Amino acid sequence: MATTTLRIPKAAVSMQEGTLSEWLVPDGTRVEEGQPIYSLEIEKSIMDVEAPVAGILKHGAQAGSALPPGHEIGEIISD
Amino acid sequence: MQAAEQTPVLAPDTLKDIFRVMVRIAEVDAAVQRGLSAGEVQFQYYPSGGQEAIAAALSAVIRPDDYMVTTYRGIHDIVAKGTPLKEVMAELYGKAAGTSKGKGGPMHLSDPASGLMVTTGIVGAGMPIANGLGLAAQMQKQDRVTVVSFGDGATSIGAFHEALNLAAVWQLPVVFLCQNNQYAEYTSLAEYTRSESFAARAAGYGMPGERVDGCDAAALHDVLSRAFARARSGQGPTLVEAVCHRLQGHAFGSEQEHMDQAALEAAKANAPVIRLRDRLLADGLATEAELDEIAQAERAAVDKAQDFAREAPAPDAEELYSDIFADPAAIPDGSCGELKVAEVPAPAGDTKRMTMCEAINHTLDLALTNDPRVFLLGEDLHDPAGGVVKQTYGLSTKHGLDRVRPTPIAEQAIVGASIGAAMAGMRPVPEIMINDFLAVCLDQVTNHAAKLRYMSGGRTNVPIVIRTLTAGNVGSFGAQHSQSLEAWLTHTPGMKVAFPSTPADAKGLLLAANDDEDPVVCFESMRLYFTPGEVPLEEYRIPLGKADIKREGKDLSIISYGWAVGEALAAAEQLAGDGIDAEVLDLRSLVPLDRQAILESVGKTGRALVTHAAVEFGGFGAEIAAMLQEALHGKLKAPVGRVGGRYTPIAFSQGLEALHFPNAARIADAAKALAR
Repeated sequence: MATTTLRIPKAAVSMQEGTLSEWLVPDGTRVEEGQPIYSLEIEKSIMDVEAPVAGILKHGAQAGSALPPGHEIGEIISD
Repeated sequence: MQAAEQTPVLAPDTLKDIFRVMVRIAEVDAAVQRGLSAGEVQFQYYPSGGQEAIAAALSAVIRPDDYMVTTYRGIHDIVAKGTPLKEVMAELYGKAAGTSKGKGGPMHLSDPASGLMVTTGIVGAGMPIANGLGLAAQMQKQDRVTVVSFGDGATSIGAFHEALNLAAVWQLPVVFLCQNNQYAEYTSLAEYTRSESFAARAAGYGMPGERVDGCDAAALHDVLSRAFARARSGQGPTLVEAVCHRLQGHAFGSEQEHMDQAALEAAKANAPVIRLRDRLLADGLATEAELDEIAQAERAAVDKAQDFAREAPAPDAEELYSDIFADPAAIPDGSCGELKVAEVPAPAGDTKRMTMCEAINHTLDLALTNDPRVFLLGEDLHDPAGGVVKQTYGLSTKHGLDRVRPTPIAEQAIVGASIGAAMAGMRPVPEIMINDFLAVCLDQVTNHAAKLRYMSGGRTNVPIVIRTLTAGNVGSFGAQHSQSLEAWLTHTPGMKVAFPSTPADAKGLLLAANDDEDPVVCFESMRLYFTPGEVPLEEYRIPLGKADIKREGKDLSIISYGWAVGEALAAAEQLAGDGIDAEVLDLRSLVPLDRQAILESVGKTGRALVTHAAVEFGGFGAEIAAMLQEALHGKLKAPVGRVGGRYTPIAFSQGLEALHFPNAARIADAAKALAR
């Protein structure tokens, strides 16, 4: 079992924070690598962030939170 | 796209090898983007998606001992060159096990062992350096080829023009590989050029140009094979334009709205990896199972490299100061201790009366005679001119045009060629005719020559000696030929700077600089160029970082360098008449800096005046003054004085020019005020 921490990515030089606008997959659900798992709003654009690994997704932050890059927002537990 | 008309036939194994490299590139890219998406690492990542076929085809043509220079959107090139994946990944993660010990990062990977010589973050800057690598191979009679990758955006910058022109003139074994992905960062082709083909520009330089479908591995292989064969067999450079399409925004996370959406979707559907896979299957050259196996193996290798990078330790704090110079003690602010400079006995034997200009000529002759790696390059250096003031007269006749090379009027090309050649084992001595012209090649000097050792974690170094002249205070050269710009250089960590005041010192410093493993700029002064002095004829070196007391005194230290030393000495004579016994300390080199000599002299006299030709405001004298007040606060009998150039551009009219510069009277007046 391995745990991959999910953090808000630094998606632009100018990015001071991003809003986790929506979880696209419910808490505790299995996701595949490359599957979009949440939407991140930065300034006016929206980026769907993909799962870096397959496993069970655990939400660690509420949708709607504005967070700085590097902030922990959940994890994926892989087999 | 003439080459794509008839798709060339490639051996199935070669195509499969190319496919494997393409998959490896795609897997590295995906792994990096996963790390960025998960927020595991944060850096500016410029993906090369859409350009994989170019690098993969290149991997089937290039030899391990061929040189590569690439750019910040170059991860595909680097993987294709065979740079070890673990070291590449560790560098992207900023770890000590990275190619540059984590000090270069994604924009500055280099690994000479695999032929990856430079990755530059400056658009277009790799091309002049690639010329130097090619020049070294040519002069060393090796059949190595240098390939330099750059984006279409780089065709707009001056370095492109300077480099292509020089490569053609010297028939250098260089392949200029323009990866035309349709966008210069956020600006489309049509917005920045009216050229319909970059390859067509090659004709203007007198070299072949070929335009090829940058998504067709077989066509690329064909064109690149021809270009490499030409370079390897002494037929000179080629400009290859590989036309492709970037598959995402400028950087990870960047918007894609500036891109033509229909073209982007079409390019994604016809991505190089998909295209080659389909071709291998359609032509019956491989089975699905075989290709899946390749993909799995590459994924596993990349995962392993990424795991390694994740777990690897960050660089130690000591790494901050390593790889700036070969010897950290050369750092001029004393952060790594004082430089140990060996006492060198004064040269014995015969001397000859020579001007500084003659001494430079004599010294260059010695260097050329004694070391086959040494060569000179610069504007007008060859006979019959022998340099604009005859400083290299006779040297091309004696040593040949291969070693005393006249160049186009193209300073970026001159310094870039020197950098590349130095990295490949030569000892170039480029001349920038007048130091004001450093302004047009400062990118090569400060962003590359000075920093490549650090950016490569010590894997490369740039032992060049840039000679350059200031024509200040001789009357009539005006604002663009008369400055003393040493402070531009001393402000860039990694560059050594020497500034002699006598013909004998000029010789000893130049020979020491020529031995040095770091880049050195040796300033020369027109004001001193035609004044004779005794010069020992034997070979001797004046270590960089060794100041010289030109006049001993006990009341006041006048600290200077370059032609201002003469004014300081004249001032000291005047002061002696007023009962003030001034010491004149000639720094001779500014980086490294003989801090000990400065502190000893001022410790003894208790008073210091710094004088130099350069503009006083923001000049090197301010650094000396700061150093003295930090080290000798409470012991100084007076504030540290400064006499430099006035805060004006240098006027043409001789009366005004003279008012700009320091002179003996100004120095003596300032000294008297301090001694009072």
